[in-house]
Order: sequence, then C-alpha cells, then structure tokens
Amino acid sequence: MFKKKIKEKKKIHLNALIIIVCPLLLIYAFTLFFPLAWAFMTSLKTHGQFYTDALDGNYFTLPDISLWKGKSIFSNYTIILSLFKTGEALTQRGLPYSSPAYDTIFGKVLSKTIYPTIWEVIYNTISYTVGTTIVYVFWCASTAYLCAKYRYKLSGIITFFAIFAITTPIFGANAAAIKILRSLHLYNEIYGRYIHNATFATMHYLIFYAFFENLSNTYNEAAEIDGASQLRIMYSICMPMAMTMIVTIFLLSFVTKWNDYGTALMFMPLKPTLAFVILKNIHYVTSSPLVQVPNKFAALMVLAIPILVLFIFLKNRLMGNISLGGIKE
Amino acid sequence: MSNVDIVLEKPIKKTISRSKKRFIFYSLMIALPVIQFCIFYLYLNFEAFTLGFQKYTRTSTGKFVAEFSLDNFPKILGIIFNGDNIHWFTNSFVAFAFHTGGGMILSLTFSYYIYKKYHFAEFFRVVLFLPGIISSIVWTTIFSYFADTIYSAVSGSKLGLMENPDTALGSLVFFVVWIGFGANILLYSGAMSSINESIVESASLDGANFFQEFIHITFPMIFNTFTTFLITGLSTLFTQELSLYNFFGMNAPESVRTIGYYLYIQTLESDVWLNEAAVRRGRLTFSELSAFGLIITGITLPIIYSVKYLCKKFGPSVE
Repeated sequence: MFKKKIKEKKKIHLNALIIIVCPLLLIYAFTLFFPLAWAFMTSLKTHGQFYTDALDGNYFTLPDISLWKGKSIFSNYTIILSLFKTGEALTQRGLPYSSPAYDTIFGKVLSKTIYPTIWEVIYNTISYTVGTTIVYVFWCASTAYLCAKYRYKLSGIITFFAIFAITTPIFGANAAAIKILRSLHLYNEIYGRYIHNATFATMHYLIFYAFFENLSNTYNEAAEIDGASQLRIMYSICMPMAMTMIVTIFLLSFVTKWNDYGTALMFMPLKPTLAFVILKNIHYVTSSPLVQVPNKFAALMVLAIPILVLFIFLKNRLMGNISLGGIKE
Repeated sequence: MSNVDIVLEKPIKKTISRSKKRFIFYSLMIALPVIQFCIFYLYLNFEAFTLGFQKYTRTSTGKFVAEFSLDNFPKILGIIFNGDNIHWFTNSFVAFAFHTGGGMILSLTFSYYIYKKYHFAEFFRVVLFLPGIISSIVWTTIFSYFADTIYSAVSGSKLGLMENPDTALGSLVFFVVWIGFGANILLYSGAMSSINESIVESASLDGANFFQEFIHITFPMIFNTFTTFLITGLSTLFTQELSLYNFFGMNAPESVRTIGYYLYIQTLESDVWLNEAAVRRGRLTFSELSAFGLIITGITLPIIYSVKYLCKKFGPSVE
C-alpha cells in the first residue's frame, strides 16, 4: 500500500584517501570536541572540587552537583557580573578602560577613564556586532550590484581597486587609521566602526560581484518595461535573489565581529565589548575573579555558547555554499 | 479660445531618458562607497606613507608640530637588523610556512574529501567549521591550560609546552594550524562543487582514480580560488601574530615574538608623540610605526607579485 522511498546509496569504495584522511579527521574532531566539553564541565565545578582534583592529578572528572549545597550548578556563570559591580567603591568596580587625549578637527578631546557596567558592555557588544555587520553587508552587496550591473568606467575602476586592496597588503596602516579616526571624531565611537568598516574592498565583494554578474539582465529589463525604478529593481528584484548569500555572509561576519576583541582594543578602548572585557580580565588582573579556573572557563563559555547556539540553529545558512570567482587578470 | 486650442497649447512634458535615469541612480548610490574608499583606503594609505617621513615635536605651548624627517628609517632599520630581533623574521616565516603552506595542503585535502562526499563528510564539514566560529580567546585559554598545566601534571615535567622556550614556538605553530581551517574549507568545497559533473564522470569512466582526478581536473578548475588564498595568505606573512596577544597579552616571551605581534603591541601604546619614559621603554611613535610598515611593505610586495606572476605563468590550464 505505502510505497517506501528507497534512497539510492552511492557505493563508496575504500581508497587511500579515505583510509588516511577519515581517521585523521576523526582524531581532529575529537581534539576539538573534547577540550570544549572539558571546559564546559570545569565551568560547572566548585572551586573546592576543581583544586582538590588538581592536587590529586585528576583533571578529567565530572562536576559533583552535591558540592554546590543548594546553589545552582551555574553559579560560576554569575561571577562575570561581579566584574561590573556598581554603586561600590571605585576599586571594586572592575577594570578601568582608558583613552589618552587627542586632537580632532573639532577640537581637543581630553583623556578619559571609565568603569563600564555590564549593560554598557552588552550594549556595546550588540550594537558593534549587529550594526557593523548590517552596514558592511549592505555596503558590500550594493556596491557589487552597482558595479556588476552598471558597466560604467567607474565600475571597472572600483573592481580593480577592490582586487588591488585585497591582494596588496599595506603594513603599519593602523597608526594612520587611528590618527584619521581621531581627527574625524570617529575614534572611541561605535558609529566610527560602522563607517570605518563600510568598505567594499574585501573578498565578500568578489563573491557578490560574481553572483550579480552571472544574474541575467532579463529581470532588470522586464522590470524597467513594467515601469519599476532603478531603486525598486535593486531592492525588490535583485537583492532578494542574492538573499541566501547575503544571509550567509551576514552570519559569517556577525560571528567574526562577536569574537573580535582586537578592533575594540585598538579603535574604541572606551567602548569595551564582551570579548575585550573577558580577555582583559584573564590577562591583566591577578585580583580578578577570573583567575579562578572554573570562573575563567565559565566566562569563556559565556562568549562561546551564544555563537554555538546560533551555529546549531543556522548551521545550513552559515555553511551555505558560497563560491569565489578568483582574481582574473 | 476653444477647449481644443487650450489642450493643444499645453506644453509637452520632457521625460528623462532611460540611460540618464540609470546614470543618475548609479551616481547617487555609488557616491558614498567611493567617498568612504577615498578616505579610508586611499587617504589612509597616503597618510601612512607620509607619516613615515614625518617627526612630531612638542612646542612650549603643548601643541604637536609635524616636520619632514628621514630619521625614522635608520631607527627602524636598526631595530629590524639588530641581531637580537632577527628571530622575529624567522618566527614569522615559520608561522607562515606552516599556517599558510601546511594549512592550505590540509584544507585542499579535507575539502576534496568533503566534496567527494566520502564517509562522514557532512559531519566533518561541521567539525572543520567549528574553530572559525568560536572565539580565539576560548581556544587559546583551553589550549594554554592543556599545554601547560595538564601536560606538566601528566608528563611530570616542571615546565609546560608553552613555558619551555624549546617547545613554545612549536606549540604555537601547532595551535595556529590546529584552528586554522574553517572558512577556507567552505570556499574550497564551494568552488569544487561548481565543477561540471559530466567532466568528473567522464574522467571516472576513463579509469581515473581520486588522485588523478584531483591533479588533472579538480585542482586546475579551482586554481583561481587557490591563487586568491595563496595571495591573501602571503599578505599575512608579517601580520601573523601566532595568537600571542591571546596567550600572553603584552608580555609574550622574546623567543616566540613575530613581526605582526611586535607591530600590534606597539600600535596599542603608540601616539603621534611619546614622552621620554615611553621612548625608554622602547615604544615607537605613529611615524616610526608607519616607517616600519613601509619597509615591511617594500619587502612583501615584490614577493606577492612574483608569486602572482608565477601562478599565472606556470599554473595549470583549465583547457
């Protein structure tokens, strides 16, 4: 009665590649999952259990829930909140974040030291991560569309410069970048990051460009005949066709920005993000609660778990097929 | 005047031609990206170039005045060719050789395995992507703990792998290769997936094994993508930090430092003008850092363009 769909399985014959690579990849997978699982288990241990086990040389034990004595097993995760105590003495408010005085075209900006609250750090992280990614992807996709579909000389020049910028590294430009950002009052500002990151001179431009170049002009022509404006054609017809790619690149860029601490450290020291705060506490403060190993790994899990959850739900989008056309002479 | 005369006298509306509409739209939309590029690429690199030839002095009123100077270059050349610092270059080359060179070979191999959909290919695709999505701070902290504390406890050694000067560099290089996959696999396997199936099938019918198929079909077809990654990998020759800032902050041991790490930590504490205390600590000004960058760029650019030329001349042909 019910016809079973029989999937035709492609028979894979063993060859040298499978025999060598498969075990290697299995070992590699183990070396990734095991430390992450270990770090998570360690973050659930009490300090007493961890240091007792360490003294006995037992680093690979499971957390003992009974030792928490009524407290939540996730108590170490609340330690990160103690990095941002407010309303208490200055020395107990966590780490200072400082910026020197500098000149701008609008006048002098004085040196400043701040003690951010947890909400300020969360706001900085979300506005930096989401805002920078949206601006970047929109900027890159729009520029690629314009250059692919509007064959003026300027389009060719832009594409040339994009490839030149990707393939020609200019070292030591960060000092000049800081100087320019300060001058324009974009230093220490999250909107400064939006503007600085809104560039098309990246690999993603080539990906978008290749896509739009291969997109048939028939859609544009048909829409023009029907009376659609150029803006309408761009956003209602062509961009939706690239939506899979746009979402994939958005997610990849979002993940990069979430994990990025180097940019915050260099260009906005007064707007610390979560990654920046955790790194600073791990490295610079012997009195920080993150010196305790279970707390340290709890803080790291706070950084990793949101991205892992995003990855689990959007795995297919994040790993969607995107192809790079390569640099043609 | 009759109604017919009034209608006939109405002026004819001039409409903008289609090509003009396209040009106006294009001009308005492309203006902002072009302005941003002009400021944050063209002017920024011009500023980086001119900064290398400037020296800032502080006047009695506290203002900073820039003047033309070639003094930055002898100072930087003195730092680079100082016998105590030559290991920065060797460390950078070692890191590049393993991370870019070794990493590319592994990326191609694993991408090919995934492209051929062999055993557990989908699972491995997820696994290989994992290092790229989790913060490097997480990986470095976990690796550091395993390499030092747990290794010392298990092996009985007094020093961990990262603490021992003999094994520190090797451990760091292993680390960057270990987590260095991810996006490359995605793009390589994307490029391999776009190869025409009929070409692969006809090769298979002709009796080509997996290796012959890779050498004669797959690799030539993805050579453009490979060249792109090779060129961008070469760009990291002197920016590779070996994640030293994640591991050690500002105080990485001298024996493992690279040019990229040195430039990074200098930039964090640099400014247009530095007081005597900062200069005595070995800090460089923005001008000196720009001069450093110019020298490094002068070394790297010929290498990149030579490699690009060699790839174009001797690379496999798709035909």
